[in-house]
Amino acid sequence: MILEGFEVENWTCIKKLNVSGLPPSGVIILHGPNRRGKSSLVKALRACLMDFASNSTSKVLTNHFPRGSGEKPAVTVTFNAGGTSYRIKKCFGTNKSELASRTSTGEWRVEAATASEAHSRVCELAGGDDSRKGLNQLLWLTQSEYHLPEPKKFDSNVQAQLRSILGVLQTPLDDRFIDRARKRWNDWYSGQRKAGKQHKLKSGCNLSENLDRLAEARAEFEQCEGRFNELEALIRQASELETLLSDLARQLRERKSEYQEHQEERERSVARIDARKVSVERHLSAQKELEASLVEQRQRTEAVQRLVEAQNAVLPARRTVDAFVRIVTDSEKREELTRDATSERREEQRALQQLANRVATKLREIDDFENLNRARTSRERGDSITRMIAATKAFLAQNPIPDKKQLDELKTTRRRILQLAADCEAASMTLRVVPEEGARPAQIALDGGPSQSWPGSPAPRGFPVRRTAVLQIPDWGRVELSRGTSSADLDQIEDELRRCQEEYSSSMASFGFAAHDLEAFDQLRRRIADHGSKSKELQDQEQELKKVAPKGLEPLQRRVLELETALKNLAAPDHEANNTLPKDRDGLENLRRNLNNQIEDLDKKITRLEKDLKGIGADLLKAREDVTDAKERLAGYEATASNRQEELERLQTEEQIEGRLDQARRNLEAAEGELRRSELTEEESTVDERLAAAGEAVKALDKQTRENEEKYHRIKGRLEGSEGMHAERARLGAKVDELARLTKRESLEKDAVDRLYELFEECKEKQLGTLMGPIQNRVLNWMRVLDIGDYKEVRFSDAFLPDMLVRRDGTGEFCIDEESTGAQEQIGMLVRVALGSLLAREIEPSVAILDDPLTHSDVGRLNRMRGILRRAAEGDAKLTPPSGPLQIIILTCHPEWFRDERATVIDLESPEVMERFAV
Amino acid sequence: MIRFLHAADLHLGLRVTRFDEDACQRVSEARFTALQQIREKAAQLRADFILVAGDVFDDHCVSRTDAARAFPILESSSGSCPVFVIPGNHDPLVPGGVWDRDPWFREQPHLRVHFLRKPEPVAVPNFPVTIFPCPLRQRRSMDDPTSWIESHPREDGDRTIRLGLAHGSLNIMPLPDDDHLIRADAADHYQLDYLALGHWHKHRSHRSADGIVRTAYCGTHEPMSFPGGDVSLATGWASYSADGEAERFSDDGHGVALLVEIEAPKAPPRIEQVSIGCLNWRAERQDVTATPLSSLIKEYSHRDNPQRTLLRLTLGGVMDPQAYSRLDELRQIVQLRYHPGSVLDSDGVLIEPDAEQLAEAVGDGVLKRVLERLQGDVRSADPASKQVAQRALSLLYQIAWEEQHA
Repeated sequence: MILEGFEVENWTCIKKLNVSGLPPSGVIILHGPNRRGKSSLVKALRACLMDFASNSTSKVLTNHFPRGSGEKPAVTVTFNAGGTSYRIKKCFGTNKSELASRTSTGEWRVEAATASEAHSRVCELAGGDDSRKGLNQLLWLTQSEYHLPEPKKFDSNVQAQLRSILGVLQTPLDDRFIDRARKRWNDWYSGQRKAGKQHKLKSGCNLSENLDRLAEARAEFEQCEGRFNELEALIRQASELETLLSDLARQLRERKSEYQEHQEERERSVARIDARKVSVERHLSAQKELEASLVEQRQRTEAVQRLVEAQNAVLPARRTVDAFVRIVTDSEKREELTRDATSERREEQRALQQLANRVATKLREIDDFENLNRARTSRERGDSITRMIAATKAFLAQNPIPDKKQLDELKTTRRRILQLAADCEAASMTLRVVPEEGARPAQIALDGGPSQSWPGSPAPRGFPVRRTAVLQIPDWGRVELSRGTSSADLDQIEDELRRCQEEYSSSMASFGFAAHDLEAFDQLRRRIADHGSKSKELQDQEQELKKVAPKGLEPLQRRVLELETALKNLAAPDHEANNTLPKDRDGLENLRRNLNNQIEDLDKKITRLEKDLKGIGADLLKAREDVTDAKERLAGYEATASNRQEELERLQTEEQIEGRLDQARRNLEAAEGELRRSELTEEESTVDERLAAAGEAVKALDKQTRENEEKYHRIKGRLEGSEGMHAERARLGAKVDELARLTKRESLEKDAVDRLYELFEECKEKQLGTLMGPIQNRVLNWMRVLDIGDYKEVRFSDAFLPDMLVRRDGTGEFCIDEESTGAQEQIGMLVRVALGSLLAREIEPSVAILDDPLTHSDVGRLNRMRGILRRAAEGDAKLTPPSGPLQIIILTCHPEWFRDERATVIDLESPEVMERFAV
Repeated sequence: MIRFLHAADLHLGLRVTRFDEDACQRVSEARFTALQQIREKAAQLRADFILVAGDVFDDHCVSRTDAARAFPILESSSGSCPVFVIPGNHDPLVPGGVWDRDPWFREQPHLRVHFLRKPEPVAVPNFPVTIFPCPLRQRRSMDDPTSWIESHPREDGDRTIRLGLAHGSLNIMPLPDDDHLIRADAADHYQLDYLALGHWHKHRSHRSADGIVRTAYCGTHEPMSFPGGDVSLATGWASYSADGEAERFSDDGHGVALLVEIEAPKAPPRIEQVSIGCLNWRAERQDVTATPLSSLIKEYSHRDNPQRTLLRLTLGGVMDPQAYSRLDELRQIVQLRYHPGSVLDSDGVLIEPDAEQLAEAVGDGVLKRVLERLQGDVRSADPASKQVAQRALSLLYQIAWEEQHA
């Protein structure tokens, strides 16, 4: 369907609008400023062609009735559908509607004249009763609409039309099939199937539960099989035990028989064995007796020998005691002599020490006197230096001097004063007075100062005059001289000079100098020089004082007092010493040295004597110990000899012992004879041993048999306890098999459904790519013209709408929403016109009504978009599938965006086109 | 002349696992019914005694109930003949095993049941017959269980009929060394008139050097496997031999025993197979390409004695989607009409519609491409992928067909 023209009356702000002769294809621009009624016009067209019958009372419709005028809106649209022109006229708010078709003669023939019929017919022709559905969903854009429809909401009829053009994509059977397959798939999995993803089984689904049950059953079955295998091992063990027990029983029988034989043999030999035992015992007894007699004989011989040895030891021991007693006596005498000599030397040493002490006392007195004198001298010198320091400090305090900074300032100020004074001088006039010889003294007052008498010497003299000078010449009168010109400079210099002088005076006064005495500065300099020398003196004095009294005068004073007290406290004078000892220090020192040497010699002698005495004491001690030891040894030898004697006396005599020996030898000979006679055979001698061995073997076999029987019975008990295990194994095996069968079958079913689902998605995707190829290429080419991104593919969904953009460099896939708003709007427009032109036919173009489109585009893209829209509107029959022409009606306030030489431009501001209600 | 029934491998308390619980129970129960039939058949055929050559029980640790139930059946009524039983490798004479339990452990003599614990000659009361029993004490052994008979040769003037009763593998083919191998000429070597063997589950006789059959396996009295030996037909039972799945442990799907008649010592025995057993186990394959499904439905609906037939029907071939939808009808027949545990395995059926059916089934959309891909997958060399593809293909047809006809 395309529009040929339309008339609108009384619609919102539009009083009257008339557009006719619209071209069947191409771009048509209806432009006008804001609030001109462009959007209202679109709504009027929508209402007339599809949305409302003329008698509709919908609020949406009545909102467009003009306010205040009471007029009813009337909209007439002339359009072409299926090659025939129609005219629909609807007077809204009334039943008046008329649909007419143009005959071949150009006349209008009424097709329907009632509101409902006309509305119904026109809807059929226009493609629906809702202007937001059908192809209009794509091609009729409201203001600010730039998003493409959502795939789920995209009109199914349009999809069907596209399918019919592009080829079969997904049939209703496919839809139903995949719905069922998906439902089935969801029996095992959650969510949607995604290609390449390993989906996990949904927990709680039948298969999952069966797999869990199967795992449990298998574990249980394996446990049971484990028990069964243990039992099998026990059976083998039992079989081995049976063999072993049988063997043991045989061995036991044999051993018991053997034991019995040995017992009988022993019974037969018992009398001879007993007799043999008696003989052996007797023989043993005789042997013992003989041995005892021999032992006694040996003991006596040894006792005699020991007695002789003891007696031989007593005499030398006595001699040793006597020798040691003599040594002790000698040592005691030597000790006494040495002790006496030591006492004498000590007496001598004591006397010499007393004399030496007197000499030392005398020397100490001399030292104290000398120290006292030195202390007194130091104290006096310290006092003297202290006084000098006080005087120097007083001088320095009374004659202050400036620091370097102050001195520099003073220097500067003084220099400035001299400079300013010179300047004043230079600025002064000179009053030269040349008195005559004998002239009377005149009075001169300069610059307001006091008059001074000038004696009037004959020598001429000049007076500097700054401003005024008054010369009183006796008998002549006054001469007044005044500076005639401005004295501003002079004033300034004087002010500066005065300020400097005040500053100088103030500074100098602080150092005790007269205010304006410039010479005082030299005095100050001299004072500074004096200050330097005095400070040096002060420093030297302080250093000297530090040497004389490092800790101050107080310790010196204390030292003097101490020495004086010490001298006063000396003991009473040693008159003897004073008389006998030398007076002088050297004599005393020599005497002291001599005395010390003598004392030292005596000390050495005493030490030697004491050492000797110690040695003698040690010798004496040892000799005494030796005496004791020798005496003890002697006593021991004597006691031993006595004991040996007693021991010997206790033993039998030699004769007695010889008699006993003879008797024992005879007894032994008799026993040996008896022993030989009772000799046993080999069998008789080993029968006990063999009997015991056989008894042990029987016991061991018996024990082994019992142990193995216990084992056997334990196994038997366990095997008895296994009753019913076979049925249990069967039950568990059946359970495992049943579950394995179920899960295998269901797994196969699941895999088959998954495969179907997978293949369906793959095939759909592939088919979609094939079918949507032309559309994709068209849109992609236009995107390149617009320079939107660098995409190699626009991927369309099965609803014929783009859902992904694929970068040329393969860096990824992007949703269209990820692009900029402008790009989204432009891509949307490209898709709309691409799909729209696909549905358009050469004989029946489609109309696109775009209300204020591409508002987010920059000028560059708008310029390129203009060309794309124009080309799309023209259509291209050579394309596959062919692209039909479009009638693109753009309502805009920016006609320059879309205008080109081929566009039809209609100015809504033109009174011929549109008349508005007065606002 | 003596006449006796030779049975073996009763495997009471059988352990099968590849059925549902109810079927397992019924299969196990059928063995007791068949045991009763042995007794009845012996009475009917006026057998002098019955020899049971081992494996009365499926294991030495079968339940007390099974052990207790078997005894009175074998003991039977007062007019019945004696039964001589030896333990086999499944129920060896182990301490604490089934033979150590009541009533088998009860002090003999029983009236009719003679459980022969020891390898020693046993005289059959009232008959000139000596039985040489060879009881087993182990699951597997490299010893010949009959070797002990060597020390009991026929004495001069001995006019008794010598019968060997043993359980093991006759060494006439490659066998595991520890399968209780019995020398092939045992009957001749031990001068036995007949060697009644157990262990192998189908009837097999062995001729002596003189061409006379004196050695025979009777087979199991009640089937316990589907004939055919296909792995897919496994029941979960396996022998304790090293090659437990070997063919000699498969039966023919029906139970048998041997009726043996011996006129006199050294006379050739007359051996006759006697049909015993409760159930018939049948494993059948049908090709749906050759036989229309409707014919199969008709055939399996009208078979005799279905309740005593344990059927495992495996379908193969190609069928169209419409016929495929009737598979469930046949499955119902198999599962409900036949003995519990009967199943229809249709995994091998391929659905291949013709072009028109194809177009109708999947249309021209995505499903058409999916179908093409799956048809490629079905030709995959990988069995797992192939199986998944086949199932997916079936599902595709099924869902698409249902949606088309909804």
